[in-house]
Amino acid sequence: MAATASEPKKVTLTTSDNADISVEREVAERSILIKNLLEDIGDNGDAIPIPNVNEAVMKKVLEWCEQHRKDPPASQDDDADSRKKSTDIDEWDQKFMQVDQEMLFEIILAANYLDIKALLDVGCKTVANMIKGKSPDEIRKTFNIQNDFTPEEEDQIRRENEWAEDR
Amino acid sequence: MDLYNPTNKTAKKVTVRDELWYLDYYEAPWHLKPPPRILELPNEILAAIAQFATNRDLCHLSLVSRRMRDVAQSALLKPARIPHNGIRKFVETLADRPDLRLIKEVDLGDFGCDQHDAGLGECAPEMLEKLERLVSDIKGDEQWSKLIKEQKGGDYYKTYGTDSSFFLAVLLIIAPNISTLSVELRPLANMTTTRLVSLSSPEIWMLQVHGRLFDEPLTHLLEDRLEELTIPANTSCFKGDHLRNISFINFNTLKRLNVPMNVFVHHSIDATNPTELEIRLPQKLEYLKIQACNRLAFECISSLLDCLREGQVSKLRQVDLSFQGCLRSSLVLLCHGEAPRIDKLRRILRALASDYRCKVTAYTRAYLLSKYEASDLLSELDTYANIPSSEAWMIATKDEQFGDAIMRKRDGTPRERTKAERELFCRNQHISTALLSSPTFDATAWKKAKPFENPFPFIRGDFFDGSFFRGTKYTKMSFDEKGKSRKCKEKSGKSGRSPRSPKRGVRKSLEGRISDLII
Repeated sequence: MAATASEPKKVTLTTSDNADISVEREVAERSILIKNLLEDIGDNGDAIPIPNVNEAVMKKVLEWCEQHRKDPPASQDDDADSRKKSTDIDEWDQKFMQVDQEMLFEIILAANYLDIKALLDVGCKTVANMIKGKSPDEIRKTFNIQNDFTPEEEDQIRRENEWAEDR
Repeated sequence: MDLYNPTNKTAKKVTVRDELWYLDYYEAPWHLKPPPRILELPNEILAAIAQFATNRDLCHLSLVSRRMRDVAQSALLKPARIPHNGIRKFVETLADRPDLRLIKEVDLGDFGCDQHDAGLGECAPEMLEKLERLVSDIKGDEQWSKLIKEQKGGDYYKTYGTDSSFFLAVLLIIAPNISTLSVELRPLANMTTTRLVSLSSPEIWMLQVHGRLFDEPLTHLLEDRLEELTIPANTSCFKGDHLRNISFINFNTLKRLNVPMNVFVHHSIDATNPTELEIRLPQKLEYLKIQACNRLAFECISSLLDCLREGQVSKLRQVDLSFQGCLRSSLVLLCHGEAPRIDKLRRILRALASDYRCKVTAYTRAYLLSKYEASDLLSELDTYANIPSSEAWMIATKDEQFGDAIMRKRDGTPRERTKAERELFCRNQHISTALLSSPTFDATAWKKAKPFENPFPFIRGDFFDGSFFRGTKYTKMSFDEKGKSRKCKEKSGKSGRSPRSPKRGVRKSLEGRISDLII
């Protein structure tokens, strides 16, 4: 217990736009990438470069890590089903994810790069919820995607997917 | 167009607008809007998103654009979640698309009930011929005739080609890579619940003993193929009594099995002991998960040891038991609340771990909606045996694991708490149990320390300025509690005083009035 009596350890992260962010080590270690880096190179006080993430996104990601710093590691039972049924998201996470699409996808990409499984899941669930219950046309409008099918192709896809509709 | 046409007018009133109609008004056309960022995501992330979508959403998604179609259609097949009336169409799709026949996982869900077969629809004659060609090419003519023969039963034309197990057999033949299967149990002998209830217990016993997971020739096809079998504990609709006596012994290639405990249980004819449990496992099994563990969990674990002793399963390394309740109530359930059983169970678990290198993990959850937490059953039982039941109760209410509360000797072996420690523990529930169970913790010395002196030290706010616990792991917790309790105190203080003063007032005025009356 005496060992933890000092101030919490901090690490510095350098983002893609050359901003230094100082953060508690425990928070930063929610990212498996950073955790492994710190274990490999040892904590010598140097800034850790994160070349794929910019400052705004990194701050957002760290905000999530701070909130979820004490979360227990995901138990095996949650991953039992490879196609998860539940798209439920915590209330805090829901509020956290109320950002524009640009930011949402940036967060997802950053979570993927930094290897933060829980945050990646929350992001993916958020996008899945944006798709939920929408018609193809509505999905196109939501994400501004162009329809590149011919009517024949659409018919073929409908036929191919007919088996799945009822579940 | 025609203003004078009355039919047109009425039609106008009921126009159904597109839900997102305003986007057309308020948003710029697509080429002026920012580029579709979602298409910049790499495929594996799109796939990760698609795994959270339902079949219906994936069907819609696949009509959005070519890229989305590829993502959605491959997500539809990982695993292929086939609706109860969709297996015919699925097999037909596979017949037309050889590239899709590489699927590995199939989730049949609510499969094989007789009532569903009516919804399957007829298979076109050309399609039947095509399926026959495919099956014969892969397995030879005999197999096809066997399938038909098995299916035709009494009336050739009635059942031919409309039975879901026929289509599943065809599916297994034309898609040779399927090795992972998830399926709900059928109602016993395919009977409706009302009929099952009316049966006598010997009849039910017969059905259970001879009830199989699938009929021939399906069983035969599956037994040589499956590597992973899941039978979910929660079925999509109520199907009556699920006690079964399914033997998995013939699944020669099965490596992972995930089933509810009831598949091993069957009613016994012996009325004094209404249920029996019998576990028969395949040779190559490596992982066993038993969901929805009930009061037979103890018997289950001991018969697992028997299985290993008899050499039934030699490769079993991991057993997961999933309970419905919290850790404490699960352990009580497991040992029936009896101390001799705890010791017996510990011996069994030790034997499993040391002789067969088989680890047993318990998955429990504190309340219905919380996540399951894994804990090593043996170490939790070690603790449970060493703490009094009141402490176990207290730990459970704190939602902590027993391992946090155990007192250990310097060498790490668990020991019982001393009387002084127990007193401290019972009095000081506001302090994390982990602090009290540190091996260097000296109860007699700490007893006089201020935080332990008063069971609610935070009420004397002046003491708890945080200096005591500063820097320790528990700083945050004690601060929180302090803050909360202060607020509580303020509140209760106000509400405590305020009713008193009016009372006095009332009494005075009453006295006054009474004196007035007397005068």
